[in-house]
Amino acid sequence: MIHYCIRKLLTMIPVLLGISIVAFALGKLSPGDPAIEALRRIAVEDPTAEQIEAMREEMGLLDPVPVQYGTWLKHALSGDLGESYLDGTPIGAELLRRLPVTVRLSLLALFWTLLFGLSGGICMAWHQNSAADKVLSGVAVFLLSIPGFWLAIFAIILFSEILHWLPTSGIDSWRSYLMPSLVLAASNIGVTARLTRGSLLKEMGQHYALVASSKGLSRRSVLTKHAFRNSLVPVVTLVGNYFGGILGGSAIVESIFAVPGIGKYALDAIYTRDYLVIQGYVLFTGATFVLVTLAIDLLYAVINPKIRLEGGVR
Amino acid sequence: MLEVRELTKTYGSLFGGKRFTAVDHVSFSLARGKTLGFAGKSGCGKSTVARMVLRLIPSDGGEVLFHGTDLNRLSQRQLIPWRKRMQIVFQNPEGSLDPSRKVLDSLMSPLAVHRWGNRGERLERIEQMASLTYLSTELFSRYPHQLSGGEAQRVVLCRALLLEPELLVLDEATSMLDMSVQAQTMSMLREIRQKLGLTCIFIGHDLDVLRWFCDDLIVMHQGRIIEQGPVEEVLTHPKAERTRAMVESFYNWE
Repeated sequence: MIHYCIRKLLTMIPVLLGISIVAFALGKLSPGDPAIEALRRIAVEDPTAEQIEAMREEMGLLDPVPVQYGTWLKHALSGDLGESYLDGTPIGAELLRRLPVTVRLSLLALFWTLLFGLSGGICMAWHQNSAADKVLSGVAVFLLSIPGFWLAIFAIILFSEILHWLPTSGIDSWRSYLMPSLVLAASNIGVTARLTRGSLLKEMGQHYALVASSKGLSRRSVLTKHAFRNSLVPVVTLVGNYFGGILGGSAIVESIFAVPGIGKYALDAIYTRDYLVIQGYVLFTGATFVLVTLAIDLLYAVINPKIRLEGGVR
Repeated sequence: MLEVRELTKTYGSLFGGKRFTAVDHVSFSLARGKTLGFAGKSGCGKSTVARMVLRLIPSDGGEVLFHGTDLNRLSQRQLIPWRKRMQIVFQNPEGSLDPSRKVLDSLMSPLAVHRWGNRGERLERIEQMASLTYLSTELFSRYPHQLSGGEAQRVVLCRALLLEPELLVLDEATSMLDMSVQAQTMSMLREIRQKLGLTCIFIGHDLDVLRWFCDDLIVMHQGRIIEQGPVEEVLTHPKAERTRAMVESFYNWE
């Protein structure tokens, strides 16, 4: 188990380095001269060639690219991702300020996904081929087919404009999180429910499940004691990847509901071509995704002894 | 002891068209201590018959009389005391063990379900059956994926015997093992069958094994019984055309 953890941690390093190189390259390749931008920010509107040269020197832009990367990485690791071109706010601090909003939204969406996805899937598997199974399957396909932005607009019209139940935008209270989190969860509820159903039915059809019923366990016990746990592996993969994705900010949903999270920050930066913010965002979400993936890997080991004991006795 | 009458299973198609008949009015009886073999091509319905006898899948008609009680008429709850009197061993031993449980937990489980004795007595019981199936107690703390095929099959067999079943169904129980392990397992089975006075249903493809292990033989084709009788007679003087073809192809192929 310890070996497994260490190995997983080690494999993370090259991936994280790769992400950092991509993010760094993004900053390098972006149009515009950082030295001129920096001079403009200190109100030098029309810098002379000497001023630019001096600024380049000062910003380390004359160093070889690998050295620049090293310096940049060192700063990034200490949380300094540079400053926004637009208003000069430190990017790292801004990401951290917005993080709790996105985390809250993502956790709530994850909760809905697990609640409705798992229970829907179990219900469908339990009543396999019944009318309830078919109706729920239909609902699941419907949910996973609707584009998020359409569902978001529809939800705003229904719950805010017509029914006046929920606020349209902002994050004034917990009620503001309801709609965006549900919209964010919707398609994944559909996918999770279908996957859970399929996975459970597969396990219920395995010989060990038949043996369990032959020794006298009820169908309910076979499902809860044997099949459910073993059916979780693909579901954990799916839900984990989804969670890693939305934790990096869900640009569309956040911007429709005007939720001041990380996704909205990135989307605004794209509009205003605030390259350093995009760079910071890529680095940040990339790292988040890798961390969540690591968490999933560790979770596998808890669920599946085959993974936990990998490399042990045959 | 076991009497099966007109057992039938059909599967519907998705759009409710013509139903496929997997098992078509199958009847047979089995006396205590005897072993009945089932032969036939894959998909002929022999495994389905076995599963319906144990009521692992519901049948669509017919009776399964076990000591005179029709199991098909019992509710799932009423069925529980009958369950321990008949056990099944499947073809794929590793798939018959819950991958997330250690061997000992899998062995404890049937005893726990039937609230048999306390922990100490259960352990004693397991050790007793383990020695009968040549199962080393060292394997108890392993997970299924850490067992060889033969070891896993002995675990599964040991588990099936823990509740002292009267009827043991062996559904191609040895066909996934390699030849030498298969031979070992079969002799072990014969030995255990004699010691415990088991009644068996043995489903298999290997006619030599069937001949060696069974008293009677049923040959099935497309859900129907095409021939039944004492194993020696069926295999040496097959009456049905398909049985003859099966016997010929088996021995010529060898």
